[in-house]
Amino acid sequence: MLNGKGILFDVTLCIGCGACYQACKEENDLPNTNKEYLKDHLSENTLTIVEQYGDKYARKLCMHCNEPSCVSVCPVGSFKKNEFGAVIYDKNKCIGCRYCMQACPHKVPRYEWGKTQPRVRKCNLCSKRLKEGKLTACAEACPTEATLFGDMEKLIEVANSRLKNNPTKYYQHIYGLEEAGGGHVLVISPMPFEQLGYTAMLPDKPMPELTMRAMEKIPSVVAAGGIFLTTMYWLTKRKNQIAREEKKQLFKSENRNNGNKYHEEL
Amino acid sequence: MKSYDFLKPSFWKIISAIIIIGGLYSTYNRFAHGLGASTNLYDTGPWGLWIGFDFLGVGLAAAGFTIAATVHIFNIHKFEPIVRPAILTAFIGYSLVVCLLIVDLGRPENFWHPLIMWNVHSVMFEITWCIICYSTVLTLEFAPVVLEKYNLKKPIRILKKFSIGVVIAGVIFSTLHQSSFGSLYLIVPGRLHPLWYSSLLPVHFFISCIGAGLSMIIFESFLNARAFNTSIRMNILSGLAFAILIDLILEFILKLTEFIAAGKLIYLTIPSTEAYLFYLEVFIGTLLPVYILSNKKLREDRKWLFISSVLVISGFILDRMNVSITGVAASSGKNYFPSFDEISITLMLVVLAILAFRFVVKNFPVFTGEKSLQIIGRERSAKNSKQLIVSE
Amino acid sequence: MVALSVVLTFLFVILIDMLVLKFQGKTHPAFENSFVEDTVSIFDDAKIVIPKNMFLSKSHIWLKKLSKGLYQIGIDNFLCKSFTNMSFNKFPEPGNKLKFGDALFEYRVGNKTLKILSPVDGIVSSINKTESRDKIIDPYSQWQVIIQAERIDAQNNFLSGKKAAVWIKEEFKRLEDFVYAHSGNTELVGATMYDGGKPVESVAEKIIENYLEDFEKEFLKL
Ligand code: SF4
Ligand code: SF4
Ligand code: SF4
Repeated sequence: MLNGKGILFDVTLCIGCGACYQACKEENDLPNTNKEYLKDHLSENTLTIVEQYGDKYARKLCMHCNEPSCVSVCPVGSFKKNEFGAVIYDKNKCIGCRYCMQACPHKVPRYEWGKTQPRVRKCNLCSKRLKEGKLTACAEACPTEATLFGDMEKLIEVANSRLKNNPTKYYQHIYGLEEAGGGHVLVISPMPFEQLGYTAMLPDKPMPELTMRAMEKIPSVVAAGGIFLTTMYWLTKRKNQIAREEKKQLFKSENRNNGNKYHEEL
Repeated sequence: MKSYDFLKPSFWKIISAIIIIGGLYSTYNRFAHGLGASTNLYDTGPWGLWIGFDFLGVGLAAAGFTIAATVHIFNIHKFEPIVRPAILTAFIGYSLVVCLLIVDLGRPENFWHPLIMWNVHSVMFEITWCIICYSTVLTLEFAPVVLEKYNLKKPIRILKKFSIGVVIAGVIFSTLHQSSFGSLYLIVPGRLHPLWYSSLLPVHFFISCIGAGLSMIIFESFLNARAFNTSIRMNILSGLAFAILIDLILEFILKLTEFIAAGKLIYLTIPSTEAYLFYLEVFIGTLLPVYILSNKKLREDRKWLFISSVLVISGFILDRMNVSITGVAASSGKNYFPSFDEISITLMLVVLAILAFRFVVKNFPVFTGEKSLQIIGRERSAKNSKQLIVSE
Repeated sequence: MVALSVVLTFLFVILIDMLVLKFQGKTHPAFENSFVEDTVSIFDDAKIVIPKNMFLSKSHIWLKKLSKGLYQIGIDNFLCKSFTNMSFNKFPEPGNKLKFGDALFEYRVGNKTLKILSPVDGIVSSINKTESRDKIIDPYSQWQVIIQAERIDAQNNFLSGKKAAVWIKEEFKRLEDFVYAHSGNTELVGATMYDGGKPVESVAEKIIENYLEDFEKEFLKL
């Protein structure tokens, strides 16, 4: 069901070496931001991080959602899903409203706050490399295959079989397969995901549906509103007119009926 | 017309001057050094004071469409004298919002992109378009006032032909984007605190903006009376107050049923900053004014009318600020407080809005109070005085 | 916190403003003593009471029979309310003959004049020369001219009683339309139509004053 490429991250295999972190920096020409890479956080110069939780390490990066909030909310369509399933950003369209940052359920997009012509930054699944037929820089650099790159179908298969073959070793859930409609980055781990800092309690439905439910009503609001207002205008106007005419009528008829009686009094 | 009188210092003039100078400096800072240097915004809290004020500006301008609909569509002509102040308020409110948006956008030079780059799934896109359309509507609705001053009858006649269509379009655009400001947050159930998050957010936003907008008109009438010594039309304002009362009750009932239906009452019992601010918002903005306004005597008393309008506006400010800042604070993991530049730019724009309002009221027949009537009267007898009055 | 600060700033500014006003020795309009709102509108129908024994003519004057052949004449409340700032002018000399349609007297509004036409043939017997003449409080008790009429024609179309009241109402309606039509300022005048108070009168008045000839044609013809 899922075409395109993606990443499977296996917490049990990650040794916290930071090779992916370094590779991503090099691939994207990003300056160093922190001497201790394990303490770094996502920023405009850091598109992926490795975090330490006890003796476990967890990678964070854009989840390349199937129905991404960022794509749905951007007023100018800066974000787009490409042929690999990666969610990529076009800096030439962006107006900098930062709704994408507000809306992303994984709080991924970052902003170049320091610049006067800032961009939104996030992992783009190394789309340039993918076009050349290579794997992502982070997956290539990973010495243990904790970060595995491949076709989505394959990755899901691998993840499933790992969960099945080692039921005691793995927490029985593939994070990112269904969360917020699922995406192209999957995570499996020995413990519940919220303990590793992944956003928990996300609904399985894609987030944009929440907005769509309201947006759908717009045409009917416009139509119903238009009809209602026009009718009301017409009705109330008519009412006022009739009231006025009735008064006039009353006056006229009274005048006629009474004839010239009063002249006799003069 | 002593045209240099406006240079005479007074308390508020000095304050305004200071604020504007500070604001200009901050504006320079913002555009020269970027958002990072001038604001306290950060990656997980990308929206701050400015977005909050956008909500306020648009919400408090809601009387523009409510009153226009009441008078022109429902033909309740009692409220005719406040059509113009309401439309002017809306116009200035929206101008303020547009200015703030330009300041707030990371790439202000690209502000026109939504015109040609469409994403119809985006609430932000819809809001942008509605605001553009509604600003056009407001311009058309306010144009006669300006044209009148210069005695241009022909364009007024042409405008009149379309006026009902324009009003109807305005009401629809307003309904859409007032509620859409609430829809902005529909996509962030995990971020916005459940006290405010609701699938009915758009409806809440729509209903609450009406009460706030009308209160703003009452508040303004008093400001205007204070500044120009005009009389206050209590019969109209009391009528408005009654509408506000109904609106507030409606809002309260809706909130209550929604809280019960969604099982959110539990959050009210957990002590937290959010809960306290929520209580404050409901108490100041809903319960207290409902209590005051439901008493007919108080509703017809200018002092209480003024107080309740201040209360409703305060409650509204709390509500919008809570949604845009308090409600997302916990999930963004950092405590946001606006920077000096953010505050001073906001203050400057508010002061400019007030000055613009003053300027228009002075020079054009907006409030049909005594003073402005005298101006018209003077003009009618001596049609040649077309100077703009800068100050008394 | 931010929410609270914004609200407090708002309230703080209001408070400071109150203090500033106090310092200047003024009061905020919200805390002034309420005064009785002037709810009487020129177009307020409820206020029209026309005494029983009066007859109104289409030129907006009233006739009251004093004795056989002797009539008191004054202006009706429509004319009186249409202009707050006016005076009487150019009365005929007592003893002069008047024909139906002749000017009975002139009505000065600003620097223009209106001719008020006589609805009867007759001889002027006396005119009101008291100083209170121009300050009309009750138009139906303040007379201007006494005329000796030989004959009163039925075609003069006098109105009385309830019918007169209905007619006056109708005239006010027409005046409303007249002001509307001559304003080019509909919304503003709309305000004047539905809201009471003095300022209202002044705008309507200004408009009427500017189109006095039209007013004469519309409302003062016999
Ligand atoms: S994780 Fe966020 S930024 Fe990445 S695709 Fe999904 S919504 Fe967009
Ligand atoms: S900041 Fe840019 S990319 Fe993000 S939603 Fe706004 S316009 Fe789109
Ligand atoms: S896929 Fe590319 S851009 Fe994304 S985290 Fe890996 S190396 Fe960085």
